[in-house]
Amino acid sequence: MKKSRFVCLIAIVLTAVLMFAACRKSGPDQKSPENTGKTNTKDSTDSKTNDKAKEEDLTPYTYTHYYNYDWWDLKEWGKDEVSKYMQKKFNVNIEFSKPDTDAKAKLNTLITSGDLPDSIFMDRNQDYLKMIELGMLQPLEPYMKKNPTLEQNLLESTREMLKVDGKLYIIPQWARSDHTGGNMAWMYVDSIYKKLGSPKLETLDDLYQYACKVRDEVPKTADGLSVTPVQFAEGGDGGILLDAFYRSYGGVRDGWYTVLDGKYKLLFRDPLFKEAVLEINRWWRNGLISETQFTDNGDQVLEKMVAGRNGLLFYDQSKDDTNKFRKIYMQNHPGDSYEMVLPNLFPPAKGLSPNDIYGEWSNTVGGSGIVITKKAKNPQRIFDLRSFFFTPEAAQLLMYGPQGHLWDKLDENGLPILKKPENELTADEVNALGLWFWMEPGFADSIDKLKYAMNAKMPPDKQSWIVSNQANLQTPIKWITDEFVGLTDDIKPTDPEGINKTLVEDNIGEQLPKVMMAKSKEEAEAMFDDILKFADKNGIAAVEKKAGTVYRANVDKIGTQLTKGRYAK
Amino acid sequence: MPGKQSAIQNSLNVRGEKNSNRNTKERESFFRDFLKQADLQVLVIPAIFLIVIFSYIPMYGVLMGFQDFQLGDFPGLSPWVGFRHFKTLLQDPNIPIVMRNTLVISLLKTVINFPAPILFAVLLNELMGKHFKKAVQTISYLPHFISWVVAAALMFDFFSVDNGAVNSALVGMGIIQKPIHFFGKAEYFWGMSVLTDLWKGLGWNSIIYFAAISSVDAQLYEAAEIDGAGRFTKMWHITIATILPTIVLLFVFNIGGLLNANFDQIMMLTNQMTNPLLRSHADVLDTYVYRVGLRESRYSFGAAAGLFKSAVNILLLLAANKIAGKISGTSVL
Repeated sequence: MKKSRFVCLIAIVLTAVLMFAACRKSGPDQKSPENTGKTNTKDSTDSKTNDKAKEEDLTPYTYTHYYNYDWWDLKEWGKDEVSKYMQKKFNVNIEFSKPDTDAKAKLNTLITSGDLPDSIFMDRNQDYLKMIELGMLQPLEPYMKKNPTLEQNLLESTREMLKVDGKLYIIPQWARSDHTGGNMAWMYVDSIYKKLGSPKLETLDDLYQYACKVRDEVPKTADGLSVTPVQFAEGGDGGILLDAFYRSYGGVRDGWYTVLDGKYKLLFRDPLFKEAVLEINRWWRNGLISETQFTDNGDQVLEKMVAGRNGLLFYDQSKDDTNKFRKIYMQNHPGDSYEMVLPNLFPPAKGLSPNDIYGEWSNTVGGSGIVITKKAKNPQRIFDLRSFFFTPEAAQLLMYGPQGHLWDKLDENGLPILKKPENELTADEVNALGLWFWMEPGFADSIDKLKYAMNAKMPPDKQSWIVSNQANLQTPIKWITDEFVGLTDDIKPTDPEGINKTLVEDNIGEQLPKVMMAKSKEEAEAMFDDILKFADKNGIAAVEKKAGTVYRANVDKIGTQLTKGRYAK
Repeated sequence: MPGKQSAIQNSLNVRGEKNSNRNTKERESFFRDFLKQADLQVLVIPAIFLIVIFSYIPMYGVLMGFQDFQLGDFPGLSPWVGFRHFKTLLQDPNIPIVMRNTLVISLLKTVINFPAPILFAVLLNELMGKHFKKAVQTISYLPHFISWVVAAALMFDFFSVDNGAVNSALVGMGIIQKPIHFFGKAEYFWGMSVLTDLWKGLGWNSIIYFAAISSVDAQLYEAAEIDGAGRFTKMWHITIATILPTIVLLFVFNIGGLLNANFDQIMMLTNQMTNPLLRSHADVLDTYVYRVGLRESRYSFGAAAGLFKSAVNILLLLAANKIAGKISGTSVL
């Protein structure tokens, strides 16, 4: 009995200790930025005394920055060479934080408690609009007057597009004024291609014939694994397949919508779109597409790619940078590789001319950005630091670090002469320098320009396959337009239109793969028509109308890029 | 037979009487005992805190179901909209399918996965080898400690079309010609969810029955043996009969949670509901609320759906309790 009492007492003490420990305010995560804040302020005070000229403009300033994404990786400011350089240059310290989980709920707590950070990196979505409505964000006009960097780098139309009620509230992420870069591309496994006699792959039908040949003649890889004739990137709703096929039919899509006779309409109203979907179904019925296409996740697709288990591949070629699908394949299969389907990146269907095909597109405004809240004590300083990211000097810093590390001198064109080629840097070296990490806000123009120039001056065998593809093949067919920007800003998910929009788009995401997988053409057609019927029944017309009005207004303001091929009239 | 039953009944009655005597005494000296056990009572405090913080305070949030919550509102202070969200919920064309999936998956789990651990515990109890028994028990509850995130990845590999163990075995034995895409056909999903749930929960759920069985008085078995009872008679009339209150308690709870069809499991087995081929059979109330309520920031709608679910669950709980009380004479609540 006594013993059990003793155990009880110990349990009580332990529980109490645990409770107090849990109730204590500061976890290690919260504490560390404070600490660094303090030490960094000390550092900057030192640098302040060293440099009296700077003291007048640049008193030490510490502010808080919040990433509104729970998946974001935080890194301390001033620990790597790139951020250390900016820390000194601007005498600014940043304390970073992010939600541990459920970003939306956390953002709401921050708003309702009035405990907003000084600046936030977030999507330009309904939450952003709501924060403007609640008067929580700083309009940037006063700061642009003092520091014109942002204004000089953004197109006027871009600034106009970004404005809400006539004011600019966001420093955009990946804004651009030029049509550079590219991602999705058709590729083939070189050894299979050669084995099948290197046929020409110029039209969509050529790809079909080639895929059939792969199915019949190369059922297995040299390692004895089964081969899928055509593999697409992962994605359950079939959107990736549309990117591949609808483009070949000359179509342009904006999510599940497109433009028909100058009007913004649901894709399913486009007969050409139906043709493209039925073509996918034909490929499926002929056994060219994997049974697991719509259920495989990224890792499963990657596993097949690095084993070369696909004749044709439609994938984001630039991902070779991150998941190394091509590098690993080439390493394990010397002499073999993935190559781009040429000369038409999106081989035309139905005898269309390659000039009628629209490649990848993006807008000039990006999808997210940095906002400064009214909590910030010195918004100008935050604005100055973030505007700096738009300069060519910043692009060089962010990609190759400050002078004296990866490079000492510039060449005659003003490009850094690297001591070690970029692709030979180890992950530790990249981390220590902080390369490619501080990209908020990234500016596509300056980053791409420098990236391509640096790549072009390397000897051909040292050039990056990805960058060369982007610079030489994808940039020429990429196009930019802002006509699709902000179309659904007025449709809140809680509005009747918003509820219907979700309902219809959810149904599309569920049913479209089934259309693609239908057992016969008739079945596919019937299911396709059912999707349109469901959309009509559930009020998609109101969505089309509301978004269409904004689309019309955009086109009136900046014109349309849909002027060639089927859109030429 | 009647003699044996009455012997058992007598012994149970004796225990019951003892219990009730003690209860009356305890009630009389409640405060004295409370003070005497102050140290033990303190142990309850964390549990009370836990319930207040995580169960009672959030109940305030149900107000949101009757309001139109917008970002920036303090929860509970948004404009009132009456039953609008409940109407939307009931008129939603997805709801019939979602309810069907929820009920079918839950009922299948109740019919198959609820009795399975009982059977498992009772049968294992009959085993003689102590070490073997322990080993089986430990191995059976290990899967419980694997999170659904990992378990789902394991299942995907195990049932993969591409050299998955199950398909390779079935093809190898000549049972099927072509590998089956287990996670690519909606019709298989109900079966898959029951099966994977059974694998993961069988051992763990049986622990409580093991505990209950271990408290069965060994004298009862001896008395029954003297009366000439066989193995199955003992299992049925002693083991099952003694753990019946435990079974009833868990069954009532199980019915009370009928509209919870294991959110974690379904989210993971459907790749966070991004697998479109499974949705028609996998979308349950919780995943639907998550998809439509939370992802689309329709918090009020989510709160309404949650309240609706809780209300139905409470009704089911009370009904199950009543029925259990009538049938077995053991009412839990």
